[in-house]
Amino acid sequence: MNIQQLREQFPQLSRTVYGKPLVYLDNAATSLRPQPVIDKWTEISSERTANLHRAVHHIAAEATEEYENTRLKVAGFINAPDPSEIVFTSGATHSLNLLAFSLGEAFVRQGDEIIVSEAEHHSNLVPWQMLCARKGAVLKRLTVDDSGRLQEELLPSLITPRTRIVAVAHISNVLGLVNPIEEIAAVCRKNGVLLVVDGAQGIVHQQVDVQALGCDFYAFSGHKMYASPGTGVLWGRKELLEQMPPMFGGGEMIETVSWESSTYAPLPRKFEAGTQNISGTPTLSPAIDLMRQMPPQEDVKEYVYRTLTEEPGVRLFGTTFDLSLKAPVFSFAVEGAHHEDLALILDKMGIALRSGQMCAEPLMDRLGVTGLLRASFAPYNTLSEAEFFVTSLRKAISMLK
Amino acid sequence: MTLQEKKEQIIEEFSMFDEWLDKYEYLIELGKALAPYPEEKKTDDRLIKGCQSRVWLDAQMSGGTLVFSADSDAVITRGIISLLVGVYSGRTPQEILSDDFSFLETIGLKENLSPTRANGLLSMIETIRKKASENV
Repeated sequence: MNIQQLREQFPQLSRTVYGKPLVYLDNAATSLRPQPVIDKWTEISSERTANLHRAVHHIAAEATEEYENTRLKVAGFINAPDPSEIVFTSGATHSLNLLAFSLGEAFVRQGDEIIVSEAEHHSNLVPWQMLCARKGAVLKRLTVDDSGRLQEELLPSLITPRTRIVAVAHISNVLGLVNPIEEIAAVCRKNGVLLVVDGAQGIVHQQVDVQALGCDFYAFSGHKMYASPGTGVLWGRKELLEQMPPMFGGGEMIETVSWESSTYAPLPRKFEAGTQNISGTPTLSPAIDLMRQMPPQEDVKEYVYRTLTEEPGVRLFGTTFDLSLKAPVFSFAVEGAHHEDLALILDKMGIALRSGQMCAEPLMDRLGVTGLLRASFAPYNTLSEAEFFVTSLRKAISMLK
Repeated sequence: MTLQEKKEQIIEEFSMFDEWLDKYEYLIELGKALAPYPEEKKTDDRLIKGCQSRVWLDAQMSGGTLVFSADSDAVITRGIISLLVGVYSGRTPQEILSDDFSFLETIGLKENLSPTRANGLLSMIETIRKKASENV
């Protein structure tokens, strides 16, 4: 599939804003939806709506099959050893909150320690803060250097016999840097510490193999990988998921219920209480099919990286000598120009990008900025869009000077 | 110049611009020309919440009217707050409270800079109104 054929799959790419063609560079916030995903949602909503697993009628069986086939597909996509390790959620935030609760109930006691990286999205920080407050546990910080690189070499010295969990992103949503999960996992394994990986960006930009990564949990959202919003996945090692109590009680997650107590359904239903996102979750399937055919976009990434690193007055964060360890997520500051001003002007030129703290306030504090501008590219973004972005950025900067 | 005359003057100035980029150029000019705001007044209690950039607004009663001064670290936002200060500074609290701020819609600011865009125009208006009601 070439880029033109890919673009044709995304209806929103043909719309205009302020009479100008939309240049969508806010993909790290949410990706656009391709036609097969829209079609799948419509097809299920118009032909296959029924609740899952319990009913004996025909449509319920079809809906259940669709849902469970999606589980098989997701398991294959991330090379999970067992499909029952795939828990469907409403997104990475839900996955991480579920983990922080259920993992915390099972394994975290007063005085235990949880190590979280300084570069995390709030979704992989706040749930751990809440767990620490609930259990009287201690939150410890794995720092980044001045450019934003995670200082994973400091991890062994942070781990003590009380450390239970390490939580890091596969790829930072601000810096776009790929963290060395395999190495971090080796350190964790050696010390008997559980490793939770926020894969919200990682699933989009890396071929994820959870067994090769060596982590214990991997969480991601559907809406950043072209599937329906309100969908997400939590993958975890079976022996750990089995030891964890559910966070939500209700329909579908039980085995037996008496007035006094309940026993819980086997994995993964133990963690899937209530009516599932029956129209949305199956859209992960066509999204994965499309992702497998997407053309590489190295030229766009190299062009933007090179231009922003060489541009006078522009300070790009998340620099690296090895571009294979960088996703096309570019956060930068411009000397003498506020990120909000730049974003407002670029918006009028038809360019959608993000400005502000990007749900990572501690990282902004560490980098010494009040906010940044972020351009994040998807495989459907062309080189000419990237060039237009650079020209427009220069024009916006000169307006503000 | 009365409040009404001042608003009409701004509406006329904005009507000269067809392109939004020209309006931004004008707001940037206004932002750059805003009177200096004392560093010691950049305090948390003067910070307007709900803006992506930081905006400080100071209000003092003087001879029955409210005198506003303001600043922001973003220049377009400084241009917007400069417009607001230019219109509402030196008015009585009663005058401010009886105004509907609709001139911002007439010049296209409200629709283009709605609160969903996190630039906090509504927060600025609310703060000005709050200062007025505190001083009635």
